[in-house]
Amino acid sequence: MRQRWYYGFAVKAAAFLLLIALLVGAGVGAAGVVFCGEAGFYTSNQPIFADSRQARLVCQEYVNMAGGYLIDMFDRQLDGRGTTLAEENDLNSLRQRLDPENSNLKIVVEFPQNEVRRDFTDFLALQDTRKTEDWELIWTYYMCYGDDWNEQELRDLGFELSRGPLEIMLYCYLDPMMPAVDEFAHAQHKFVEMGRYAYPALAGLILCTLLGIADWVFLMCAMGHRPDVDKDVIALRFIDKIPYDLFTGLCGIPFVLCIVLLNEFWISMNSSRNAGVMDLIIAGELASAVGMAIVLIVFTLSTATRFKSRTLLRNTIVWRACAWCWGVVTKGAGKVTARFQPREISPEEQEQKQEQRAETMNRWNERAHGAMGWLRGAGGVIGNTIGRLWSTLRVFGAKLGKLFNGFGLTIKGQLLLFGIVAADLFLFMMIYELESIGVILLIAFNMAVYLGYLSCLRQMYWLNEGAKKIAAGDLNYRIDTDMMKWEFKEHGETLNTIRAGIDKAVDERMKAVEESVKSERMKNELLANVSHDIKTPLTSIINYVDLLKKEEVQGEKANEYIAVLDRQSIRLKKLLEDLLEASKASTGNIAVNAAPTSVGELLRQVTGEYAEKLAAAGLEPIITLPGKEATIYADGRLLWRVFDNLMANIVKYAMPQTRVYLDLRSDAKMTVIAVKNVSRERLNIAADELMERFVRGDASRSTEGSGLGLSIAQSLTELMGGEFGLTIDGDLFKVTLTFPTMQYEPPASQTGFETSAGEEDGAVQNGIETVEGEIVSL
Amino acid sequence: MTYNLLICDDDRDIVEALRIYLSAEGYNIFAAYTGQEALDIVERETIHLALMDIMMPVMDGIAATVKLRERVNIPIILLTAKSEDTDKVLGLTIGADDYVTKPFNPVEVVARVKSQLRRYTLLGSMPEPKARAVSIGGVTLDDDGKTVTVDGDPVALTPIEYSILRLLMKNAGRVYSSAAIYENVWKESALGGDSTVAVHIRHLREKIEISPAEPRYLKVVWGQGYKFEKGENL
Repeated sequence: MRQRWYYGFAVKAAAFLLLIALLVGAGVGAAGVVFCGEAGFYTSNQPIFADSRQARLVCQEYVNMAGGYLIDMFDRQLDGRGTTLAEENDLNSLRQRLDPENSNLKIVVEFPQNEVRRDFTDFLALQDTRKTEDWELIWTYYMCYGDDWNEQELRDLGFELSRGPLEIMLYCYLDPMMPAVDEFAHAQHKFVEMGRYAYPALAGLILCTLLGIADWVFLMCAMGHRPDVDKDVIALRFIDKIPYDLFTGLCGIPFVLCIVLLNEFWISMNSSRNAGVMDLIIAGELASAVGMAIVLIVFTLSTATRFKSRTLLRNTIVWRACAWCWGVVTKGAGKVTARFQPREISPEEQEQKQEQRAETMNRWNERAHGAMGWLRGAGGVIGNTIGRLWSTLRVFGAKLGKLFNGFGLTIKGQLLLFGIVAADLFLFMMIYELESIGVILLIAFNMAVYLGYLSCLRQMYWLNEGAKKIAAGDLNYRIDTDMMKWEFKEHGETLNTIRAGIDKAVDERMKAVEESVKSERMKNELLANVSHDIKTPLTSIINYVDLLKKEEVQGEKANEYIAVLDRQSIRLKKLLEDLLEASKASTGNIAVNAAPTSVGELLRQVTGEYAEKLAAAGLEPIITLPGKEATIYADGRLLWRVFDNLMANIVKYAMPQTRVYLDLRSDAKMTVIAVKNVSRERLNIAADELMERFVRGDASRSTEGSGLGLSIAQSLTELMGGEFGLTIDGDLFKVTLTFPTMQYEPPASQTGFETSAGEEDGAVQNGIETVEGEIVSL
Repeated sequence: MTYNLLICDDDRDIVEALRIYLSAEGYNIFAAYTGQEALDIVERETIHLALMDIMMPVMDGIAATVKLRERVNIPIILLTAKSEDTDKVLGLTIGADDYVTKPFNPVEVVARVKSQLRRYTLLGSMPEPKARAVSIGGVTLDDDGKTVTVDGDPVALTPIEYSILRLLMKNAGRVYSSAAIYENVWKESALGGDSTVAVHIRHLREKIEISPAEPRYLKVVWGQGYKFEKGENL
């Protein structure tokens, strides 16, 4: 990993110190710029000292002293007293500072109401001969003295009397030549000196600011990174681990303190003249500026670090407190939810619980009885009365409860709701009477109602969950009805007993199914055995009837009877065969050897087989095939039996001199074979009825056939996974067989293709080898 | 020569009826009513063909057939009321030559007996088949004489029927769709809904099969086509 030397501690520390220096520098520069800007160094080439704030600042002190002196003088004059020692000192100091020899300032006092104008030095008993024509007026001060003049005393002072306060104007003139060495000269010297630093200060301010910003940006970026650690890892120092809000407070206090100090020092700086004190003030100012800079830098850098490590908001007391509260709330919510969770209970547990509860109840009952007995014993008449009252109440309560329980659920619910509303209204009205107690009662009552409602909800939830489990098949689930009350408990117990009911029903059903399966099997076996047993004598009957036919039997009638015997015995044979087949087909007792079967080929074969019979019945078969003949997955032999039955029906029942349509329609999904013919007889029978066993189109049943043909065809079709549909539309009799189309490319020989001239060779190519051992038609 | 036939059934009336029919055809009949009796008779007499019922007391037809096959190779035709395919297969596997289900048509039984006897007696002494003749089971197709015989009896076929039979017999065991047969015989491509081939096959079956509905040689593979059964499967 690349070492980043610029993330080193030394570099950062140096940058830190530099930033402080730069900030201080910028501050000093800013102060200089402010000073110089005020003085007008940036607006004029040669600013006049007398116009400057510095000059006024110095002058202000003199004005204050002079004004103070005047007021003291008036006070003394009014009080008629002499000067105190302190006043004497002040006077001396004033005399010294305004001595025309030592001062460049001249203060002229004017009393505008009397239009009197005098040098201030006159009041100090000093001689001042200086003319102020070319002097600079640097200060004009207006003041008033008092509001209630003592006429006498003031007249003594030589003032004209007038109403209102005495107005005094002080005019300060400064000698621009500055002949005396005084504070003004001193200030002017400094002022000129400062002027020289005006532009360097400005440059310094700009430079320090720019450098400071660059340095600060660097530090902001570098914070949290270490030269030897991956860039994604943000290292937190101790200072960064203090909760941010606390940290902000910790930084804010010294910051505010520094600002206050800065301000104080600034004010003092402007008002102080003492050079030694001034140095201290400047040092203090600098120190507070440095402190402020440090606090500001540390705060911003730590903020940056926290932001990078994504702990800015998380690491705060507020956040932690909120997180803690959230934890408490969710935990509480979890507990509440847990109380709502449905509980399963085993029968043993339930029994145990019930026993425990009964025991507790007994104990309480005993205690109550004991207490009643004691009350009766101890209280005599009163006790007895309370006891009787209690008993009566209990009996009455029990009767009321019984009456209530006797109602249906709807009545009960409505009564309850009515009671709640009535009680609420009552309590609400009682608020006027009972005031705060009424409010408390109302709240308490509604709380109780709410809790009851909650309890109902909880129980409903339990019941719902339990019922879901039971419905899902977990019949061993038992709802814990111990915590339930009223109808809910009853319902829960009913649900718990559902299992027994279901078990019973299932047992019965199973028995019935077993019996029906057994009986079905027995029926089939019986049918097979019986038909076998019938076949043997039938064989004899057929054979001997045949023999009889060959005998020379006398009489036309006898021959007629033999013919009947012959016909009926053959019919009996057919019936027997059909019966057996129908039985096997309907019970699925036939092996289905399904293979890809070409429906078109089958239809050709079927019509071929029936060609003569159809011709004999005067019927013309029409096969309609799509361009691409469909292949279905079915047992060809069973399918033949289906068509055999259908065609036999057609031959028997179709109207002569009509056409029989064998249509094949096929898409990617379904293949539908439709067999349509016109019935000879009127078909006044429903299609589904016609498919019932032993039902035949002709009610007389005179024709040959068993009435099982359609039933067999349907059973066999369904056995192969097809659908057998029968519709009768007037005399149109239509059977549809629907099979899923097989996505199968039949061998070329099935669809027909150009064969080569060589018969054998071509034939060999066209042929398909039959599956070895396949029982096709033995 | 008079052939000796053994009829074995526990139902005496059936035995009697069969005796009447077969005697009329000039066969010498021996009757047995249990499997054991049949075995005893075969032991004593020279029997040329046996008709055997399956469901019999003491020893059933299947067991008797198995025992018979240990001693003689006469044709055995099973008679039974069981019409299940599996029963037929079982019967044929254990050595029976043919199968007739009850209730049977006496004429069919006689035909089958004749067929079996011809094959039994003629096949051994039959002259070498001609170079261009095909012979499968009892059916022989002679390309030189354009004749077909079934169990030695000549059968009259139309040229189309002959061509179809020739195609199927020369490729015995292979299934031909009616379209393929049409193309091979008529040398034209088949029309979709045309059942001409099926009709011809039906006629052919009626001519060469004893029971056209349950053919022995020329079989219908429903939904696929037709085939002539291979010799070893007969």
